[in-house]
Amino acid sequence: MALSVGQSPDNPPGRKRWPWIVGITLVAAIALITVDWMIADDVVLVTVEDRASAPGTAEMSADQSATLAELGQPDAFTIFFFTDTVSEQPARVETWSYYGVQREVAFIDGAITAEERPADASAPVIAAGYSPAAFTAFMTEAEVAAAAGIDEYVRIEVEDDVVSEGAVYVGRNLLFGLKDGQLIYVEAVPDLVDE
Amino acid sequence: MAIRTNAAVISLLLLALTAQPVMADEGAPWDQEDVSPADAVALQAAAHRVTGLAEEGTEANEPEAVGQLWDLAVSMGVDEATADMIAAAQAESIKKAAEMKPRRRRGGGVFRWLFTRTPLKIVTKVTDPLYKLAGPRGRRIIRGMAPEIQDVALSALFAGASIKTALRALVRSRLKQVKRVVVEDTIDRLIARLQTRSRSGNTTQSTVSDSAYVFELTEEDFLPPADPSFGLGSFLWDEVSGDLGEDPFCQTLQLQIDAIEMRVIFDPVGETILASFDGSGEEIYREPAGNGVERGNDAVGDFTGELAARRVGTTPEGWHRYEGDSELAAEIHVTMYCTFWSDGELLVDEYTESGSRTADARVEILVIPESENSYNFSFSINSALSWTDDTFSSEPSVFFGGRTVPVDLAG
Repeated sequence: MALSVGQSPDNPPGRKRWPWIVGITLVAAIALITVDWMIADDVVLVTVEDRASAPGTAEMSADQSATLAELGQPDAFTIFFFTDTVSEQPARVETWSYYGVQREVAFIDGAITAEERPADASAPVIAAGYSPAAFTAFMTEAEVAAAAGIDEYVRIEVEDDVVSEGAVYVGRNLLFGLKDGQLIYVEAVPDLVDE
Repeated sequence: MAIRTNAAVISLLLLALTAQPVMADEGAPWDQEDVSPADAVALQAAAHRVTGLAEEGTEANEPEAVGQLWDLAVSMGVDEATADMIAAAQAESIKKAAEMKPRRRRGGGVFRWLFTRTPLKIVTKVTDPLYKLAGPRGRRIIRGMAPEIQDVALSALFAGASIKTALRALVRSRLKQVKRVVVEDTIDRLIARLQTRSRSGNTTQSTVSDSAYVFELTEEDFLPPADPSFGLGSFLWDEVSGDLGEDPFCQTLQLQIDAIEMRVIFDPVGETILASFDGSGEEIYREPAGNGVERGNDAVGDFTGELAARRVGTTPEGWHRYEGDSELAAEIHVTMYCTFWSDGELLVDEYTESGSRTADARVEILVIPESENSYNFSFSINSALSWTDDTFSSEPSVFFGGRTVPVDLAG
């Protein structure tokens, strides 16, 4: 006769199992209530029911086009958007990572500024599956979702003294941040592969 | 082969357990207001904290701490390029600190995020009363600092300084160390550039005349050796600071100039390089002082200068070395104002200072012929700006740049 958990010749079915069940249930309930109490005000699950039409893509520079032609879409990338203090124009600073070939390319407004090995390429990855060109400066939340093609993500409000009117978002293989409702940071995160 | 979904996705699932469904926010149109790079980096740090990515091999960067210190430095009137240096040094400190302690393990992103929002044990245990004095923002800033820097800040607090004064002293003390590090780093980079020669394509070649080839060095040429996401548009023109003397409401003046432009005229035929400096900038430093007092200043500066450099030799690598001395002239206009209220009546006190100052600059230029009509070019400058009179006093400051850029003489 096969035995299941909590069952033995000395511990017949139907006896002494309920304390375990009650205990586990209580612990789980307390954990969920605690987490909910600590973060529920700041965290919401966003479901996109009527996806906005995808906005226009960013124009790739000659450097970026050459990189795409040589290496393809990056496995991972990070893009920051902010205002250049001199030109007072939006600036785009991005890093594209290619783990397969151990290359990481940095661009400022499309021009290559550095190229080196990825710092954290300790394991093979599966590409995040997003394109840097899909994201443009100061997109709205809905536009980011449309550009990324995601229907569900989590929004976490950031404390004002960290970033005023800031929020970060977590979607599948995608992190992004908005300030005053406008995209200023997006990062495509690959999956790691254990061989 | 197993696919291991990263912590971001795990955290997403965990977060979803407690989240409430809502509709997507349509957001607001871009209103053209300035967006600080610090905000973007801070959001990345927050996202990494939430998902646990901050502990997945990127501890050395600790972007939240670095970003906070950078933000603090800028809010205290330090120019962005210098803030980059501070942040870079902070990152290095954190890296060293991380190497001296066991690595934290992965997992539990949300809980770790929550736990890391509590004060560090070393702080609360040793200096709890002082820590409380720092206030919420001060505590947040101190928490983001490397342990050795926390000690400095807390020592200042212990001596009776306010949190802001303590941090200001801290940043200033760090500046001296950081500058030395950056200078050495720049020299190393310059040497590396000489050895490897930078790739072409980043130079704006603007004008070609009969005998001189003129190109502009962009702000990119003067970025410090730090994260390129910082410091766009800022040059290493140091702040000028000093006291305004007897005015009890305006004890501190900080002045920094951005947007200096530089133009270099390269004469490949002779052995002389001429350079002219022309630029202007504006920096506003405003420090609400509370108690009905508001103080600040607006400053606008213009810079001019010329350089004649002579060839002094050739390096073993084949670079022609040019050296020269120059005198930079700075014409700066400062409007200082202190606004305060008394019994509901608005009183305004305004003080204006205008004048010219000069700065000696030491310039080194390296040129290597790549082909008959193509040269590579590297430029560095060191300047000491001494600013003293009845109103101002300052320590000599230094700025520099280094870059190897190609010059196509074929036109």
